[in-house]
Amino acid sequence: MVEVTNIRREFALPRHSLFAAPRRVVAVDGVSFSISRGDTFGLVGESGSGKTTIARMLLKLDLPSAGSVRFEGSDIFTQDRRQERIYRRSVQAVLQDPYGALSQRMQIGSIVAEPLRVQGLPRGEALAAAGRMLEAVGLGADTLNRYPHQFSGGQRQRIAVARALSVEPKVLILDEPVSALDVSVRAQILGLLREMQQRLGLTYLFIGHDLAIVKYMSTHVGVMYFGRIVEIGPASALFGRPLHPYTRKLVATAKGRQKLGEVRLTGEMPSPLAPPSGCHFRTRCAFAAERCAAEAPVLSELKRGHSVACHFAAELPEPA
Amino acid sequence: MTSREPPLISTTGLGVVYGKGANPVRAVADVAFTVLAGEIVGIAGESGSGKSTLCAALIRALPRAASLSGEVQYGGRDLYAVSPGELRRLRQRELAMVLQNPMTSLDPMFTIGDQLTEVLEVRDSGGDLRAKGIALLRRVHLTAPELRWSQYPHQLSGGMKQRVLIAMATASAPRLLVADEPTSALDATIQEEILLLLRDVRDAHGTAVIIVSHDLNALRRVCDRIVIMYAGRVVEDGPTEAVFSAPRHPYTRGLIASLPHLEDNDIVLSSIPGQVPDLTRLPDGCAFAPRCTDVLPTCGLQQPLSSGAGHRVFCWMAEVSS
Amino acid sequence: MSAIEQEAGGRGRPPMLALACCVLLVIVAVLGDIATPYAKDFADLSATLAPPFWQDGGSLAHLLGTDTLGRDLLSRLIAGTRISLLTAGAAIFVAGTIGVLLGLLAGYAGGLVDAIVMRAVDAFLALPFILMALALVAALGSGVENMILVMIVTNWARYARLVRSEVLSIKGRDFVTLARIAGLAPHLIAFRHILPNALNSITVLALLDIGRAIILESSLSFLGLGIQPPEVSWGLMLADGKAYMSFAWWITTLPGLTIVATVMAFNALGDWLKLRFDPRAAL
Repeated sequence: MVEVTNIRREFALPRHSLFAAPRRVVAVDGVSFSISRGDTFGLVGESGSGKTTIARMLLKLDLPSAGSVRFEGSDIFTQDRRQERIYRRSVQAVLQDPYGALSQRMQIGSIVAEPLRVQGLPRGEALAAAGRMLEAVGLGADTLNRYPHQFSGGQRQRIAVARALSVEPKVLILDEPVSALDVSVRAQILGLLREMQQRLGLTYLFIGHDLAIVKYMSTHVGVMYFGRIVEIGPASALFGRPLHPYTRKLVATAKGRQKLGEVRLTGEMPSPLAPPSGCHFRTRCAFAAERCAAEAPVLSELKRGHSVACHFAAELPEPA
Repeated sequence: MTSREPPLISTTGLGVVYGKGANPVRAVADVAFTVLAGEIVGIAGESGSGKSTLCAALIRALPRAASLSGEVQYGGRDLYAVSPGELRRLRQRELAMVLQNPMTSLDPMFTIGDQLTEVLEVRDSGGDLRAKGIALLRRVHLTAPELRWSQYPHQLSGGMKQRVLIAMATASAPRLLVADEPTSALDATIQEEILLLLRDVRDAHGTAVIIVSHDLNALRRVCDRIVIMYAGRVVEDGPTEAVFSAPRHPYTRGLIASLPHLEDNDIVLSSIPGQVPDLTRLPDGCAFAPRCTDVLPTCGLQQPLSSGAGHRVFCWMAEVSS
Repeated sequence: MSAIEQEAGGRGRPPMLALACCVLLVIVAVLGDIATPYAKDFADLSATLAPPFWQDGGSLAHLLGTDTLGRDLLSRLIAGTRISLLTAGAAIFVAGTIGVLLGLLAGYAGGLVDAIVMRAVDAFLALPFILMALALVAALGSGVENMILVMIVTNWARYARLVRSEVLSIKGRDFVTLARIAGLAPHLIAFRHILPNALNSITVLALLDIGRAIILESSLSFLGLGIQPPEVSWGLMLADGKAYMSFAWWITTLPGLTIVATVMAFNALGDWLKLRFDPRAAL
């Protein structure tokens, strides 16, 4: 349903002198993945890994420097106005910050009804639909006339979900939707999202930095590091037998078993201005060798549907 | 776990209220809590728990809009009765604080070296301040300390800045270090490093460390003791392993259950229904009662009292069953 | 802002004295000439230079005394209130509207448009007010309308700059991103989402500006470039009494005190509003 092919996003930094060539930062470096209808694709990575940039491109908030994104077969970056309108209806988002997502000055009803109004629905009908949506996410219809500051973080995310689903989209981009919420409330929102997916047959892109939560929600997972996908495969396979050293560290953290300091990543995260040559991860990898500096590893399929970008993936010792 | 030693810092009946008039906010209510020398204590809670306010109250760093009730005893003296001069001396030598956001804690106009020197001068160390400063940076595992000395804050990553802040805080081997969400603004892989560093500080200087965080897993790995807070009150307080393996308060149990955990190689998540109460409209009785699964009639009427000695809990159910 | 900061924000009640003064002034301005004990240009030549009632020679007939032509000072002060507040209000309203629109445009469009608008703003802010006023008056003549024009020309730039910086900071918030995702047209995003959220700052600026505008108007009128007789303005009254300061202090001083009190009252209100909107300023 959604097919991302080799997208790349570079940013030019302001120049220090007129004569120097502009420095470029590559935020996303040749990323490809696809999401089938009804699935959830999880994208895991730390801040700076490029995952949010990918989300922005999928939402047409940003143009890739290279590569393409296809939705239901057609390229999204060469759409006319009519097609773009349809796309905007089909792809919606729930973002990380529940406090910034809702305008303080608008009533909840108007906020939730807005996407419908943009699509052309008259006010009365849009508000009625908004009311139904709010009930579906577990908030009463009396929230229509209240203001955002009267609600908690978790409730605001529910409102954000109601708003996103009001136009009956096909795809939902979820960018760290529970990271800013209290731990005891996260499962409520995740449960809501899962329920909605079942009921409405939605397709999700779920972005996060906590592998446990991403795994909980996803059918397939891609692990990003420094703008590249280092491992990609079915969620249970990736979680059960992680192949890339970075993934293994994330899985160990998610499983929560190890004592403090047991699986240590050495070194600092490299600066985006000076990415390490060859494999970006080699500066922090316990298994790095000469080849890693010379040659960037390519994603290759080691098991069915499960690919990894590491020269030594097949030879690494089993994790404890 | 009784100790003959007097606690380093202790509070009785501590309360903090913001704002006057019709709807004051009870950020912290009735907190009695102690920290022994050399202990690492974690204060855990979610939004509205009052943990950051408690933290600020412990070292007399509350904003002016706050009114305090109760007492904070530091080293046997009432911290709030101490003269401003004496308070300053305490802050120079014995009390240190590391805050949540390393991005804003360092002055962007001065180099790391300048700021570290300033701290060293205030703490009255003589001699070659640069050498001392660089040694400090090395001790917090900052790579290439000589280079960092002449760099500006914006040239360092979040994790590096936090290390610098810890170096500044521990420059004079303080007796108490308070860290308010020291790892929240950092990436997951760096968080562990910072926590290890805090433990190193305790091991090297015998500094007592108070870590405030919403990340239970992190606290579990580093703390000797854990205090759980909800809606401004302490609900449970005991040795880390005891609290995690046998939590006595329903909120603690719910909180631990909310952490993603593994069952048959599958991730399981649960939540606590409802949300944190509005701090201006707290119910009589236990603030957690509306969300609790085992409620007694008394829960809605009166604040629970503490039961248990080494492992305290504030819950009517726990009292009944013990 | 955390819930705690929001609850504790602001000191609750506005400064009552300042609020009362402002309300009184507005009422007087609305009532205008109806509220004056005497007509504002009624010259009672038998009672010239009468001092205020608490001094020797004063009487309750003329509470604040009279000027050289026997005109009652209190009546003229009351009549002048309307002119002063009206011109200040009109100038701020128009300057504000122009400035806000241009600031929105610059902030939201960015790029070349932003650069052009901001250079214009810089230029206008750099010009000295008096010179501009003199030039405009020389070109257009004096009088109420021209004076309002002068005040608009010299003031719009501050609103533009403020709004532009607000737009830049609001633009980054998620609800704007979500509006774009919903497909909302840019001008609608600007007016429906960004502008309401910038309203707080704009209101504070406008309130603080009233005092400034009143002083501008008084200065111009004092110099003879603004309000002309038979209209009354506090600035004109200041000029009227200038020559008689040594023996009829009340003709100049009382209008002067009125100006000071008015400006202080509006400023106090503006300051309180600013604190109320951003309690962090107080902590």
